[in-house]
Amino acid sequence: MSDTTNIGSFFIEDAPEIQKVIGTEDVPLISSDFTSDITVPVLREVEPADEVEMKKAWKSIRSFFRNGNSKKSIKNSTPLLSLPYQSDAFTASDYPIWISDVVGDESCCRSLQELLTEAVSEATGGVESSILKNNIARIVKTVDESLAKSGEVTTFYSCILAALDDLAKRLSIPGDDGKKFDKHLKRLRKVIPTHGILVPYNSNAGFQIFGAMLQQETGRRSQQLSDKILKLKCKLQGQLAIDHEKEEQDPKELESTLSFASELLDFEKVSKVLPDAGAVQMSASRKKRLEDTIAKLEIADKLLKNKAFVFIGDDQKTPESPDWKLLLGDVNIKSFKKGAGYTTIKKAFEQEIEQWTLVIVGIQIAELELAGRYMEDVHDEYFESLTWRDFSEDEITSCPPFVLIASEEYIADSEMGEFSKILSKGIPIRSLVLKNDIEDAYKSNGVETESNFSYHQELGAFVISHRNAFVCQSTAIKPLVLYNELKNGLTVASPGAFFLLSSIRKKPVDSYMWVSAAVSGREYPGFTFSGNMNSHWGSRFNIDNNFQAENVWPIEEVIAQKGKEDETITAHFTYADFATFLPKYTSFFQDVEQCYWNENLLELAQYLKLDKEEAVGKVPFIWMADEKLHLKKVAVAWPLVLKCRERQDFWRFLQESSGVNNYHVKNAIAKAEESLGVIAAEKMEALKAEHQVELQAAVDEAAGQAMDNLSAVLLDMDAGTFVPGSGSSAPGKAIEKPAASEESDTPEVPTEADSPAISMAAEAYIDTALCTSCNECTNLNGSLFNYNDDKMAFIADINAGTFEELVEAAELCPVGIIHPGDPVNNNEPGLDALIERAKKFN
Amino acid sequence: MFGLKPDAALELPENYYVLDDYEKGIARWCDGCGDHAVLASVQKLCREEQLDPVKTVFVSGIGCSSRFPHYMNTYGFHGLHGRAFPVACGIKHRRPDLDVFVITGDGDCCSIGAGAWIHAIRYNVNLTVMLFNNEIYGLTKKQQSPTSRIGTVSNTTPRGSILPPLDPMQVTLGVANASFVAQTADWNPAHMHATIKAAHAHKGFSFVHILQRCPIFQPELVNELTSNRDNICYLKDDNGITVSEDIEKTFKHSAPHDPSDINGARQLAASEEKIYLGLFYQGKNKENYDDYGAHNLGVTVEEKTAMLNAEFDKYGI
Repeated sequence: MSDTTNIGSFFIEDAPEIQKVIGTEDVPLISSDFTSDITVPVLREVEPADEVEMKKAWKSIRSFFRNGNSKKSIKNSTPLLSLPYQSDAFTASDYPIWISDVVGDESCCRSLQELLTEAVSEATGGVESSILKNNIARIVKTVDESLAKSGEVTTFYSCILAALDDLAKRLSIPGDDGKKFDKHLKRLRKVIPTHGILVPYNSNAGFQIFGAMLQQETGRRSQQLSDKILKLKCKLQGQLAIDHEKEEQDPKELESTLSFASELLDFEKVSKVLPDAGAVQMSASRKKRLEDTIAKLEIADKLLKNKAFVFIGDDQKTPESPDWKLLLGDVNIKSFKKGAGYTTIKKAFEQEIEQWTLVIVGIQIAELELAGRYMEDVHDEYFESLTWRDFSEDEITSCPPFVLIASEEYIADSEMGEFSKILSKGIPIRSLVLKNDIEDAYKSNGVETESNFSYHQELGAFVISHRNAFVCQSTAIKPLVLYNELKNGLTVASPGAFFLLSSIRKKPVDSYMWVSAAVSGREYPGFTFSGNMNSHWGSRFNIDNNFQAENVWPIEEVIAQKGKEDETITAHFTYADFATFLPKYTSFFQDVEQCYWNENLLELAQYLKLDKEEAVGKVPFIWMADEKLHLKKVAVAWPLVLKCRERQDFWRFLQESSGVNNYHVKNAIAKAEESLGVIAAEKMEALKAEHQVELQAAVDEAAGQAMDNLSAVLLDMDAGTFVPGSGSSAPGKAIEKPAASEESDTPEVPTEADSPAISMAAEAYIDTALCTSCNECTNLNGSLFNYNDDKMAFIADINAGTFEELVEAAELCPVGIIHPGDPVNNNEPGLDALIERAKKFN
Repeated sequence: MFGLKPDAALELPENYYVLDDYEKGIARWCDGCGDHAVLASVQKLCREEQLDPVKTVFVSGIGCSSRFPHYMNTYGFHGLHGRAFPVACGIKHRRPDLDVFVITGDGDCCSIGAGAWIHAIRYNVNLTVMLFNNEIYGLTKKQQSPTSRIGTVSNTTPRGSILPPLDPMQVTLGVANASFVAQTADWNPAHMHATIKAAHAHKGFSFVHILQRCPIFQPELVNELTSNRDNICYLKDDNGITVSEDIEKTFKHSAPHDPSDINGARQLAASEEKIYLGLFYQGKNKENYDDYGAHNLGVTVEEKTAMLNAEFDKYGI
């Protein structure tokens, strides 16, 4: 076939010319409707440029590297590792999440996916595969879409019911499957919780989680405390009441209490005859103490009304700021003026804690009194001078938490000193420190200032330096982790600071993606530090809430298509990859055309490892992909390299503190290895020799045993029986794997010998997994035999047919998987002959 | 990326299909026929892969097995004897968005359709091909087929057939550009299902040779094949057809075989000792002829006319 007769080929060659003729330039010649979408990044095959051109191009690349003056936009490209998540398709994050609004739920924050998976498995009775189970993702997606439409928090139950109805309607499954599906749906509706809210991912998700945690924790605590106080109060009142009873009583009064029988008894006389009860009344001071204590405990009723105190700065009153009242619910919200945050909250704390001191003292006295261990000479003085500093951790955390909410910039600029004072004094005040992408630090102002490349202030590290505080730096990307981190922060008596990054972006990169990239690129690494004097320094750190916490930069392998072959590319996600999302850095990236790629172009993560001398002449790049999924190497300018180094440095600080690649540990290991190496080598030799001896013994023994077994089998062989996959393997094999053959061979011999002794009635069964769906048995008796969901036969109802039918089916079955067992009905005619026929299949 | 699961970009199809959605009518094959097993297996595959019935086509030739498209509630073409491959190749060329399956029998494929078969292998069009080999012409009541063993007594060979049978595996492995060649047996539904599934996942001409029982016209052969477990050997490899441990136990013999080794595959096919079940050969990144056939899709008739006219204008005087 010559080229000219191939219509297709000459169409393509002449396409531009032809399009001129037909004048439909907008219409693409090849419709994309039929061609499958490319999902794999493509590495094009390009010839390198010639030497002269290469030199020229590299001159300009180096100039860009020094100055960061790129004019070319990388707007339509995306870092390679974030490529799979750029589509508008359903994103598999933990969102939406379900948050309980009833105090006392065991797990009050769960991902919808997880909650549904559990509920579905309960509703379907834990079967491996069901239509409902296969469609959980679909339910989550429906909910996700409906949440995205409103963009707000929704009541869980109504939303999920709507999604389930939608699912049933959309799938409209016919037949038996449909009935089963309906049954499962009905049960699911009963199993899922009827309360709680659904939270989609948005800029407020983190605050929502904080609010929910605050509600749950304070609610639970105040519940426990009020229960405890009520009990103590009742007991104390009981004691007082007993004492009151012991007071001398007027016989007249007694008489009045027994109105109907008063005439039968002379109380005056009786009281004289009866012996004195001999009761000793409590001392006046004790009585007063008990009464005082009850009064103290009663203060709690009033105090418990305030679950938590939250102080919000004036700077949080902008239109972009979240509606804190709505997010935090039933807590005491107060505001403060600029610069006066910590003084205001400290004052309020001191006032409140004074009241609480009375309550706590009341509880302590009451407990001592009830245990009969109160000693006036010791305790009177002790309780007089008691302040909240003497409280135990439990006691402090049972008081309502004080939280100050402010932005990172606000604290750094206006209240650094006061912040530090609170931390160093150990006052249990928590700060929720917000950072978001609309802050100046991320704003695109078009003008590069030097401050862009200064070190980050890292308020988190600043708090760590106070040693006794709880710090967590986190995001709402992993809601359950965040919930627990915040909860841990609230259940310690030390001051706390929670740093939370959020984003309100929509385009071109959505907020989830942006925050995720900020964590992955080590711009905002997650960590917790729990200050506690009694623990090791290293044990206070936790950096698990990061992407590949063990690596300096996250690293992943991506398979790209190069011509017909697959090529594996190892790519890192560095700070520079994250920086591609920040408009202000645009001029620091420049796409290097593929014909100019050479050995001087080094991946940024590799470049950062180089010495000064090694780095001379090299230019770092990051992998990116454009809209057509073509891979690009994008050069990164020197100022941004500096920034990457700075981020790497902070990340290494966190890593080393948590024991990853720790300098001292490495040295210690090297030393230990050196000294232990000699000993270990000797030990190894000894063990090897020992092992060799044992191995030989085992082989000899197994070979002997295998021969014994074989002879036993041969002598005792029953030609008719066959056990699939039986261990009657060749002796040669047995010697190779002594342990396996012992296991499979030995039990078989005794069973054959023992079998006559067992006289249990064998049940009929089918090896369903081996059924070939040939209809033989189901055509014989459709009630006795039936197909399962996979169209494979099983015995549906043993009483729906005769033993004769069972035997007949076993004979008909082309793959011999029907085992008739013993007859169920012993009155069937001709049983003896049937049993004889059935023998072959049992 | 932090907090993002690897299967993030999950596209959910509009519908969810159950087995009923792929079933049509009552299969009119004899009770006990192996075709039932393949039908059940293919329907299950459709459900597992959630194939859209309106985007799935079954093409067959003539024969017992070729009645297959009638029992699938998808598109189908039960057409010309021996010409299932050209029809299927044509469909795939013009509609690469469709999932095309070819159902053919030993007569349809290896006898009248042998020419089309050879070239379909070489074209390596993205099809899932199932050859039902029962070694007899069943639809026309027992005549010898090219794959019948020597001595097969049939209506056309009353004193037993005299020519050695053609081995579809050897033929397929011998043709240039073969890309997926597997053998399975209908009486081991788990292995067959795994094989068909792997074939469907392969891009290119995925050839599955199914040893299939005809209990009516070949009862002795069926009996011998299914009861003599010494003859069958399971090919075991991580890149091959893998089945669960329980199913593996149903095979008495197993042998290692690397499916990228075509010479080894040819030796296995030629071996007279045993019948090997599993993936004989898989070659990735082979040329697919349909890749070239789809390049001018979506061009309207007007555009084509205009293009032709433009071409003719070049020769105008």
